[in-house]
Amino acid sequence: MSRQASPTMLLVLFCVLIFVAMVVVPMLGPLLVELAREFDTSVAVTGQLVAATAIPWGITAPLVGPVLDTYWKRPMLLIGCMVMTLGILGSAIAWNYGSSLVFRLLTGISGGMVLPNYFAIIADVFLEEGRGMAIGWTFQRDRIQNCLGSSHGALPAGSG
Amino acid sequence: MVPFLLEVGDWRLPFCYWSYFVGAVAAVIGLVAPEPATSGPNVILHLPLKSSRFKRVILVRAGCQFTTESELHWSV
Repeated sequence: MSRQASPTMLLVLFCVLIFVAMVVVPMLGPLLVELAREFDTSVAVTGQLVAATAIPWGITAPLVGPVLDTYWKRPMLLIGCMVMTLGILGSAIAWNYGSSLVFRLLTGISGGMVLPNYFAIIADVFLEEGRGMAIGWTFQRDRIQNCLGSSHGALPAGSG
Repeated sequence: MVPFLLEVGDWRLPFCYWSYFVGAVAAVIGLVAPEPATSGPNVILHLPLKSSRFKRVILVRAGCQFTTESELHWSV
């Protein structure tokens, strides 16, 4: 049974994936005050959770690249998504600042696994004439998610 | 953690349902993403054209295949 979707379908799915993956960083913004109150710390300290996501993201991405070149991308992508799901869910059940920090580190590591994978798969699936269009669509969502990410964090939490 | 049990205004709510969202998207991608082209590592080694016959024989014995004169394609 062939499970491969059409390139257009894959592009739509990957755009959604990149959107949901990138929102995990800006969604923290509106929640910082609530998190500081919950963990009995300052907003400045809670703000470091953003760095705790971004730093492992930046470290993991170049390390994942050679693995993607050797092994196929699909397992790495799915592992990255699974770790990201666990990291975000863990942020919801964090009982103190330390645990929240650990779960944000986990989320950052998974982000570094998902994003390079996207570009590697796009390069595999789309030939040269369609590749620019595919990457362009992703970056359009890249800007939108910065706007929607904050709203997403603010509205359900009632702090918007 | 169940999102429906959380009150609106709870800081856990965005994390909770976003994790389910990521999981759902990953599940769909897992169903439709392209299958692996090979079952294992696919290593390409570059040998100089003047590499010794002895070295090539050893590599072929090890399971390597020459794809061009200067390139060795090794599928494990």
